[in-house]
Amino acid sequence: MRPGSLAASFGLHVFMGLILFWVGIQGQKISKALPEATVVKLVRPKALSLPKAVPTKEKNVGVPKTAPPLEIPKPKVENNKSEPKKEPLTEKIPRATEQAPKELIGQAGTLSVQTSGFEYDFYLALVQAKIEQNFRPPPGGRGQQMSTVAFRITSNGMIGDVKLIQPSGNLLVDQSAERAIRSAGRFPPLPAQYEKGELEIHFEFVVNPKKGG
Amino acid sequence: MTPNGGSFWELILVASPFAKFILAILGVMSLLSWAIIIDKLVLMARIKGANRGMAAYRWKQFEPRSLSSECRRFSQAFAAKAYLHVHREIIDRGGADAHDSELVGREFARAAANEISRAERFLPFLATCSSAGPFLGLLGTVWGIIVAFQRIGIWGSANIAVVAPGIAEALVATALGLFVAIPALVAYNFISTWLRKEAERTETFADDLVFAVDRYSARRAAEAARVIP
Repeated sequence: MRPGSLAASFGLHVFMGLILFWVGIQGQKISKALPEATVVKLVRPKALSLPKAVPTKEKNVGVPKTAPPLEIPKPKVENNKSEPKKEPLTEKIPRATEQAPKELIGQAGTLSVQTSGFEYDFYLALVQAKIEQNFRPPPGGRGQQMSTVAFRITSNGMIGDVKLIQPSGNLLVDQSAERAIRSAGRFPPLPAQYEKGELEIHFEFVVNPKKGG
Repeated sequence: MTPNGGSFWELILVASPFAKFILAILGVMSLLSWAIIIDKLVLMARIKGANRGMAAYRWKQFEPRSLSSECRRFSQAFAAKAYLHVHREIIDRGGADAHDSELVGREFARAAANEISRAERFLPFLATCSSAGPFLGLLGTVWGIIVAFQRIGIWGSANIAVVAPGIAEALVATALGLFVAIPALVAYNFISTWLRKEAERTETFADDLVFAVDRYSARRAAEAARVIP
């Protein structure tokens, strides 16, 4: 066998691999085209000292078997300035100025709002809690993985335009993130005081976060 | 999930180490089998032109030297290579049996068989790839499915969202096995058929050669008989 044919075969394989790679990148580019939006951040810290402790027995799994009880948005009072009641974490929440991102840190992550104009923290906490409840990241996997999903909530609480805008590099994590939002099904209607018809949200899912991150 | 390239690579990246090992073996098999395919196709293309040239030779005007110069022009053809060997070994030496058609025919047949078997080299690897590729892929898939079911056990639920990614990940191995096997199978059939035809062609050439050498030596003997008296 001539060495030339081996080289030709190698070239052919590299070429086909690059085509596959290029096709994949094109697919991602298409899904990245999105309008400006509100950014909501969700992190899933493994050892977050919350009062309702996440079961830590299945460390290798990283997922609580039973969905954590959803009690975060209980104080559903109408005053907009109320921060969600999460005692050990409130110091991490920056003051909600007009420009700086707002952050809500939940059992499964943080939630931050970037555009001004939507100040109904209780609503965001509700959204976050509902998504958190439905988020089941794949078991196993090493290192921190983060994928951002964008979606839209209409004034009556319906979900639309769920799109993966920043893949984590792990297909399974990306899929579970998208699924978390889709399976949330439907949110409560947007607050009546909010004038814009719908709310764009970018949701950042973090699996296996680095400690202190 | 659509089977586009990005997800294809991602599926490979998230696969288990054993599955990656199998995928690596399949990749090497694909690399080698395509190298063999390209090699044989190049050989085939060269021989095709040479065969056309050899077929144009006029046996009625057979003369060892003219045939050998013709063979040198189209030296890629199997028959040409074999005849050049015969010419070098027997006819050019000019011994007493230099124009013994039986000896020439036997030597030619042996040389031609040598050439053909040299062209057949590595061809069995294609057959191996075509039959072992799917099995190897299947092994990777079965392994992946075992892992997927273990995951289901850990999760404690078996809805499609839990099962499907693991199975998709596992099926990549079968897909790659088929990617290896199908070209290898097609190429093996194509190339081995071509080589069989080439062997037939050299046999025809051998018949022509034996007949021509017979006539040539008879003519020479007649000429010699005419000269002597």
